Amino acid sequence: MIIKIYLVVGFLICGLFLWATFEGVRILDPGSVTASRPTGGTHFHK
Amino acid sequence: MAGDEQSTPEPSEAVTKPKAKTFSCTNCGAPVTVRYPGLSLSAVCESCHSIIDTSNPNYEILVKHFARTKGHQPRIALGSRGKLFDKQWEVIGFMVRSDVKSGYSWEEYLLFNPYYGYRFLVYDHGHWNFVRMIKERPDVHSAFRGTGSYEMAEYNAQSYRLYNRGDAQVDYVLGEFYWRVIAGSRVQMTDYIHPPEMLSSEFDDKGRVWSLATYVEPGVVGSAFTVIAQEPRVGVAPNQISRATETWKKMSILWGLFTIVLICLELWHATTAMNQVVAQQLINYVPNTKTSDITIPVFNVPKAKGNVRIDFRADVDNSWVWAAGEMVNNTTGASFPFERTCEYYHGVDSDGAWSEGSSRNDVILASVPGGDYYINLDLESGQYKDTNQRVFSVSVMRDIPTYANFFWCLFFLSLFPSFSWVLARQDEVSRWSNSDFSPYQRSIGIT
Repeated sequence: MIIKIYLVVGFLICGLFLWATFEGVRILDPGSVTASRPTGGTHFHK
Repeated sequence: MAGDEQSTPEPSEAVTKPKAKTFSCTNCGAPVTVRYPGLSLSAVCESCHSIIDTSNPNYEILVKHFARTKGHQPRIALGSRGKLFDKQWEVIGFMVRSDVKSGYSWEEYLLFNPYYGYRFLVYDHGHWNFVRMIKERPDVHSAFRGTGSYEMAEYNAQSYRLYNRGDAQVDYVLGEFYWRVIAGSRVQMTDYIHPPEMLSSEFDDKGRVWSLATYVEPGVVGSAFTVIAQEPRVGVAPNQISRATETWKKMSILWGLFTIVLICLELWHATTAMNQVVAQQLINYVPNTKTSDITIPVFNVPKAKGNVRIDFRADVDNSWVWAAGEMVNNTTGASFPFERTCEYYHGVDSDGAWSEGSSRNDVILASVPGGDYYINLDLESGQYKDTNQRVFSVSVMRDIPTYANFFWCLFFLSLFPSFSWVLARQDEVSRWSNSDFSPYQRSIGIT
């Protein structure tokens, strides 16, 4: 039973990868385009 | 099995229905019944527990009042019959044996069928094995596997790995046997396993006898015989099939296949991605100020769907440039916001030269539909020592290969097998915990 479940899960993951590749989607990478303020150099200000 | 220094007698094809024979115990006078006279060479008086030589016309006593007779009760009544592996068997003998060194004991039931001969049912802490003698001599040799060498036995094109070696002695007997039971007799036992089978050799001064045990589920024995006080199974038997291990073996094959599929898809993606520059712009800015409302004019993004990477490069030297903006679809107005900083610092301190940051940065916009786009941009910079005009470079690329999706999918794909591997390993460690030849010795802390 667990093998059948894994078979389905495996196909779903490969399908997800194919879809994400075609669509240019990044899996589990939300918010990466924002929140990049300057640090001013952490070493520089020591 | 105990006493198998003599070869197992093969019943004749023309065996007639055996007639039980009763005689008086020459020690206590109690009646002793032998169910298979002529085949059984010794019998135990149920009254005084003396072992009698039934092949001797005077019923000579082999052992008087065999010691340690108390505390052992057969789980399957002697004389009871049951169908096991499509054959009818009668329980005619019972014995308890133990490992001389550790005292670890187990029970053996001698089964008999006039047409098929003798077999043993072995009970060991809730586990059952069905045992038959084999005439072939398995090939014993050393084999290298992993980091060490192991003793293996080859039988019927199957490799059995050394599991246990030690001396076994007879502690208690009841019923009748096809050999002359000798109280306290010892044999050197060696077990090799290949679940669900176990190959055992028993060696003494009379020679070596091999037997093959097959693991039997307690329910199967329970449906064949009336078993009294069947205990819950303790641990994993040496030759018990572990469901977790079987699942792990199948799952690891599937994991390998799925991983190959993922690698092929990723290679295909990496080699066929457009990776095309669709816009480039150089922007002049004055350091330490804000520059707003910069627009990169309309450019075309090909392909129906895909990602877009915007590369930034700034002339920074112990200073920073922060860019915030959005890529806007000229037709639909759909917006893809972003912000990035280019900052680079370097110097020398008591530890020597140091540097941090980079003059380059990039952002990947996911799932961008094809069409005409423009970019609105605000720039801000700081920590410059002079205010000479500098250049900020923006480059837009379409459909670039990425690797994060591949590693995420591989991670998700590995979750089930990882869990399965942990369960299988637990079972295998438990299986080998009673062995001096465990491949998991370090794991279970045996030195």
